Amino acid sequence: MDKFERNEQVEIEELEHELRGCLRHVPAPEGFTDRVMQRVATREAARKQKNRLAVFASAHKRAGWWAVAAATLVFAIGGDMVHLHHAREARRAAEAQQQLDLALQLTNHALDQVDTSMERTRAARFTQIALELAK
Amino acid sequence: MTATEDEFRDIVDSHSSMVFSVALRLVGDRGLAEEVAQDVFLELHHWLPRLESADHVRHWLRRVATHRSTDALRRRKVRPEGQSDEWEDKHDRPGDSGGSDCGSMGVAMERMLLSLPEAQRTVLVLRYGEDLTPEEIARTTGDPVATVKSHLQRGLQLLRRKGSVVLKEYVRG
Repeated sequence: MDKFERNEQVEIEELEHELRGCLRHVPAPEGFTDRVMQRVATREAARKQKNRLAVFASAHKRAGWWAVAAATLVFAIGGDMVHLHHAREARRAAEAQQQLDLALQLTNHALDQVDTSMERTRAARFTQIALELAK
Repeated sequence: MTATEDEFRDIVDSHSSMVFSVALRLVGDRGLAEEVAQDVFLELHHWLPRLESADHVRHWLRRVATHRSTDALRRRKVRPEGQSDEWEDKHDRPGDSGGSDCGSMGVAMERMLLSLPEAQRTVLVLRYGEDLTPEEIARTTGDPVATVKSHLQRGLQLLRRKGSVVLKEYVRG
């Protein structure tokens, strides 16, 4: 090690010594611990409040789901009932239509018979008149 | 590791000086350093159940204090070297040299330290302020050991060069 290197080594060692002295721990400012504890307490209180709100919100949400489920059930049952009612009404309408058709057919048939009978009576009457005139 | 309120208070009491010192040496501002140190302990309160021993707590505090100080500097875009005038005003008063027992040369040393690049300053603070080995510093900062050694060497050389200039000015003045 030459003189220059020795000097450099000594300078570095002095610098390290100086640094160790200057970088010694300094005490935290007065009341530091109290301020930390206060912030911890504030944050804990906020966290607890948030948890309470979360529990309440969760219960609220659960109640909401129950309400939705109940409403769905009611709508489903109601829908089914409406559907059944409509089907029943449609069936009744079809039956009524059939009865009406039958009644119309019967009336038509009766009218045909009356018509035939009147035609026959009219023909007999004409024949009788013709015979009387021929005499 | 769990702690009651009193036990946590004891932990804060016993480590506040270390955490505050690391933050102060890295950010160069007492107000910001206290803010960083408080945040570190608040974070500790949250993480404490996952830490296993007193040594683990000390290592965790040193690591988080280092990272949070760096974050604070970047967030506020505070370059300590840019505050040298303010720093001088605040620290040149007798008995207020950042709280350490440095003389006027020591004050100059602190100022030179704050003018170093962030990575070199961090390594020097951990090496000479916290008395950590390069391997321990690497574990703290998350850098490879070779990088830590390089920062250490360059930081010392830079300080030495700055020191010789300051010493000449000191002798001339």
